[in-house]
Amino acid sequence: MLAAAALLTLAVERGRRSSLQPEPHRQRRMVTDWTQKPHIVLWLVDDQGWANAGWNNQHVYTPRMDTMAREGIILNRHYSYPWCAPSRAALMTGRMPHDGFENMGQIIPQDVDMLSHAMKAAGYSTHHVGKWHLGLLHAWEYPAARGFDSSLGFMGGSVDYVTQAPAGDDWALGFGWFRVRVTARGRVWVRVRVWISSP
Amino acid sequence: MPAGDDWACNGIDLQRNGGPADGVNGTFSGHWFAQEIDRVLLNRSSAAPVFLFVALQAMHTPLPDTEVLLVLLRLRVRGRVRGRVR
Repeated sequence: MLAAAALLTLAVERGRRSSLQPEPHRQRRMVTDWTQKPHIVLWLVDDQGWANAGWNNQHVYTPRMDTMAREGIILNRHYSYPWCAPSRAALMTGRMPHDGFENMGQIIPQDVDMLSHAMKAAGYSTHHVGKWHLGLLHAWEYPAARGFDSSLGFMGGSVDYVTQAPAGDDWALGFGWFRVRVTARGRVWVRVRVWISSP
Repeated sequence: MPAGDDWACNGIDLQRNGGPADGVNGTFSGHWFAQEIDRVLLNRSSAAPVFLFVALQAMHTPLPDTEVLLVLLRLRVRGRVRGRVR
């Protein structure tokens, strides 16, 4: 259903692209210079790794994302962060993700303009759906006060998918392989490879 | 997963336009995201083009039962298992 909504509304100014390969560098144009303004739906999949997308990794099967990417625009000149809030802050401000957001209470400072301000200045009506987590302590940190005409979602870092109650961070633990070796003296060695994934 | 121990909070984290959001609690987030996307895109009041920022909740934690999927994905990448990890 999400994909269907995107396909209905993702009007790409430059027309459809035939392949997923990045285009050669082209002249940079500002959104305020556009003569014809398409509707824009900007999708952010939270904590999705670069190699967890079908067009970057042949071992991963993401058919709906592939379709949306093929019919839309892939943002492939952008730096993200190993975890969620600085990545979102970088996407919404155009600044580097380590540029002060990860240790400042996960709040974008008040004097920093966001993507919503730029789109607003370009004549767009701006809307936000889903996670925010770019500040929730004061009224000016809410999306409704930061350039978005409407907003619906949750403010914190991780909430339950159904009850929307705040949840703690969940660390996943995986075992890759283990190897058992019995020496001539009867000693048993067990080697286990463990990896930990953080949110 | 129960509410985290480090969050001494029993409330519900949902807002609409800066105030409390009613009517969507208890629904899987992807479903009311889709309803809101439909509302924004189909009920436009002006001719202005729409900029819609959809910050999906997936794949952020809390996730159920990721350990098995992680093992399958690691084995597939190493060529130990055929097929696709979905």
